[in-house]
Amino acid sequence: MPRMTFPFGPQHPVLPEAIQLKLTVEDERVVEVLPAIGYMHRGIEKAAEKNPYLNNVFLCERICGICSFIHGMAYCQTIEEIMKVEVPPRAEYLRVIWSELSRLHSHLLWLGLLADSFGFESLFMQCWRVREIVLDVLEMTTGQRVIQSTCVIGGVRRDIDAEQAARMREMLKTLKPQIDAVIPVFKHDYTIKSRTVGRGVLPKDQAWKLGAVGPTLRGSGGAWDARMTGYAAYDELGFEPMVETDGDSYARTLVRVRETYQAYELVLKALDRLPEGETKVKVKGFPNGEAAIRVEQPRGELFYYALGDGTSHLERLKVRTPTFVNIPALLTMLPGCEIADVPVIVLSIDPCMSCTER
Amino acid sequence: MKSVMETISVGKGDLGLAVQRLLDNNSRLVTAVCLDQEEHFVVKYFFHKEPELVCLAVKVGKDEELPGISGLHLNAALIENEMKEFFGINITGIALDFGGRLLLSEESPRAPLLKKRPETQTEG
Repeated sequence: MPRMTFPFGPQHPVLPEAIQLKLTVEDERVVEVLPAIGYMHRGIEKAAEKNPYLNNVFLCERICGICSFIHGMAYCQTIEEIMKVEVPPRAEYLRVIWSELSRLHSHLLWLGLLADSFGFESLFMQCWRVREIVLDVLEMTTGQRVIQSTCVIGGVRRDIDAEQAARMREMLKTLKPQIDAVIPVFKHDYTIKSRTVGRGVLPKDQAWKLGAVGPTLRGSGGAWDARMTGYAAYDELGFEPMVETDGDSYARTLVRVRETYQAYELVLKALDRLPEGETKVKVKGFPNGEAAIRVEQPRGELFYYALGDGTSHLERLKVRTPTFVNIPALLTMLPGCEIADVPVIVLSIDPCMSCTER
Repeated sequence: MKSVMETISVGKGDLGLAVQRLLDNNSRLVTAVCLDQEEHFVVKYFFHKEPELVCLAVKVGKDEELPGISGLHLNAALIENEMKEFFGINITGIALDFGGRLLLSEESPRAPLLKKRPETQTEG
């Protein structure tokens, strides 16, 4: 059978950001895949060395528009670990609330994109309509819909007062039935199942060996989630990773469906248990030493490393994002699939090139 | 809860063995970080060893070769390509070698994360 190689991306209706996959096919079947990235690298790690360390919070928040808060928090946690800063408990709970709201809107966004990838446009619009409520909550509590910019080294810059908390509960109360209305479609609809079940299978041992993270790993049975380390207030709130075992695109969808509910519950739980007290401590001096931390983005484990030499500028900042390590897993999922399944399988890892090309 | 990290220094000749030992213990490569320390590089490989991080630190001269670990762990391939492009570190035997064009283009500065970049660089 003659082979043919053609590009998938960097511009493709299913790709919100630029990545190219060079697909080698035999007839309609994919036999080999090579990735090409680097269309939008921004040199953020270099820029972080040129900024005073306090200003890097703003830089890191701009790595990604979807999980902006989590990037800012990861950077703050790294510096706090170097400088041995004890963050007030109230700030730790507020960090969980904004992190889980970020996960909630990210997963609803992704569910919409999945529906869009196989032409289920009405479902796509319903998911994004529901997501608007989460963005409204973020706007009310942080002043911003996208780049919340509430994390600072030593805590958070904004608080949620009793009036806002009550309003938030009301808004979340209207959100729940709307999520309940769209989620069963993802679980039971024939069209969705026919496009995802058995497509892009990643066995558990392969997922672990290839370094997959997030729903990509958990959809293959790997029970790892960085929130299990108990950072922020996760150790007090109690946390169990959502795991599915089939390893296909449907399993990865189900993980995100279950995490959508879990994020919703975590926001309410953190709000109920929000301790009284300060929201930040004053940080003096410059970071001297190194630290490596991991937090859980909607797409998976996010790694930050910082090295300070006791001056106002960091010696090195390294950011390893989940999509970067999920690419090898994607290259394993695609061979053997039909060309028509490529968009859905690519989307099933929830690729974020903005994160990947920091 | 703070992250806990164990750091083990290894020679570059022993890196493959140390990595294999971790992989045999079901560890997962999280990433590698390259540090430019003027006379030499220090490459730190971070592994997830349930539930904490283990760091293998390797010191390598700027004109020396560092054997790649992507033959043992394919996930290292993109990470090694990135280090090679951004620091100019000579990593050999990369399983999927992009020849310096994974993230940077021909017009990009060469080895942009080096503290002191080569004089022959071209500014993009």
